[in-house]
Amino acid sequence: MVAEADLQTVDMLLNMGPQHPSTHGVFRIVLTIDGERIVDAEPHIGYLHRGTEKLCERENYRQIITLFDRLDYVANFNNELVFVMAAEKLMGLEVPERAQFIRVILAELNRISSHMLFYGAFGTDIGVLATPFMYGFRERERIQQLFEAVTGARMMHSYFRVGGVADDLPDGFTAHTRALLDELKRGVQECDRLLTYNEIFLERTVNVGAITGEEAIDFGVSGPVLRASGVPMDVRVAEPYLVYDRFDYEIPLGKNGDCWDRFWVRIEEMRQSIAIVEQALAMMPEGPFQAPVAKFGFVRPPRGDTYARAENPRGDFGVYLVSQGENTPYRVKIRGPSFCNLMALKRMTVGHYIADAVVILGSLDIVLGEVDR
Amino acid sequence: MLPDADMERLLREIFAPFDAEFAYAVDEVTVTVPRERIAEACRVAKEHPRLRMDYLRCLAVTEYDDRYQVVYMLYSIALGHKAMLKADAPKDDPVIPSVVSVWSGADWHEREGAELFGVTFSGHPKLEHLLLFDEFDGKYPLRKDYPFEETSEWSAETHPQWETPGDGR
Repeated sequence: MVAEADLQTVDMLLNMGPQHPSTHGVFRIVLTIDGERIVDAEPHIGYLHRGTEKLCERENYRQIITLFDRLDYVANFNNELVFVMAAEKLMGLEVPERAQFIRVILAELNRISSHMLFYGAFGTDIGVLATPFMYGFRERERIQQLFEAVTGARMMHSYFRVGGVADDLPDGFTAHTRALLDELKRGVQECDRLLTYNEIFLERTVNVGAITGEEAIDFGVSGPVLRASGVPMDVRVAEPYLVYDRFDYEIPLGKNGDCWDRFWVRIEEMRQSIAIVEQALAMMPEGPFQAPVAKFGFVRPPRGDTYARAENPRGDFGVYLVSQGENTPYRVKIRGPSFCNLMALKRMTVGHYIADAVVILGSLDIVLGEVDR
Repeated sequence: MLPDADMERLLREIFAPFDAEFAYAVDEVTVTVPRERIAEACRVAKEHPRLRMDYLRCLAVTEYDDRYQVVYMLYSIALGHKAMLKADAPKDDPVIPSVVSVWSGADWHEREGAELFGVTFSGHPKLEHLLLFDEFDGKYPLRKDYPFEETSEWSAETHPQWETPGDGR
């Protein structure tokens, strides 16, 4: 190789997004590159900002549930859950046990459906074009059909209420869900065998975008991304809500915190979610599905503030709710897990190749609806 | 995880030199410290061996009638306990020290608070627009005096230039 000591090189700027298929929405990142290597990465968000927090100060508690559906739009039940939990916490409201089980079942099924979307999209980010998408969406479709049977909507359900759920489960729900779980078990197994130990897949993901546990905690990273770095933080265990302390399940942990670990953690989480739903179906009692307040909808939490959080498919989703005793909240601050996970993106991408930036972003599994709010 | 009463006792002991006030936000203890000392208090919360609040759950700005309040929701992954720190800034001088040097994760939360409420986080490395576009200067949409009307739908009355040329129907 000829040494060219006098040759001047200049770093180049590469703009990726907001209209780029692998940014999972309208996300923009400006990469400073030296050849193929990334030396700096500057994320730009806000393209989907709808002012949800401001709107929450105008709408009443029941209307706000519809706004929360539209934050993380692939995990609608989980979002609704956190908001109603915050209001219930402030009111000191006891939710009927059956409603709590219904919430757990739907939230866990929603986690599987969300991870299946991740599975398909991540495969595409790696470069396996349509196959994982077809497999992931086949399983996801079964779950969406169940959701449609329960709530009447495939996506924006507005099903949870402060004090319970909107309606009881349809006839034959338990039998149908049991059959669904058997299919899902086979589906997860198939997805796992299709991609997880594929030679090319390993080449693209192992040791790419690794982040240590301490750094991840410092950035406020949560969910599968944090657990892939070996930090055993899961809100379902750390601060049990609903009836999560009654089930027997494991929290899968990664070792290296790289893209492969994040993928693997989500595959294992789907298996654990199936186990939780199975137990919840067996333990679900009969009885009322909502407290009286949910039926009439006069929700007026007393003066005060509270912070509620739950483990969403993407991580620790939090709501800070301030009430002045009115029928609308005084202030709602939404902490989206993708928002905080994205802060660590720069730390993960610098030093890698451009093609890896797509893989790393895909492994975070962001949904811009909750990043921009 | 400590019961609330023990947690309050522990926090009272550790934050005694901070001239702090203690209260409850339903199930967690809140510690309100003077704003000049909030960064120092956060550093203590993170590094004190009996607190070890290494994880910033959330950082929220709230506007009250007479002040802006910044709330730091803290959590200790190692010890499994939680608490809130609070600091107030008067309306005529909304400045609060930044805590980005304590938790890197405070970065975007503070930028968001700065652009939506107009609270200045002094010492923040880059307090630029995050969610809003750069031309949105001088207005703070989450303040209570920012009207909802400005976000109303476009119609022929409010935006005559948007009226489509009529074809008689």
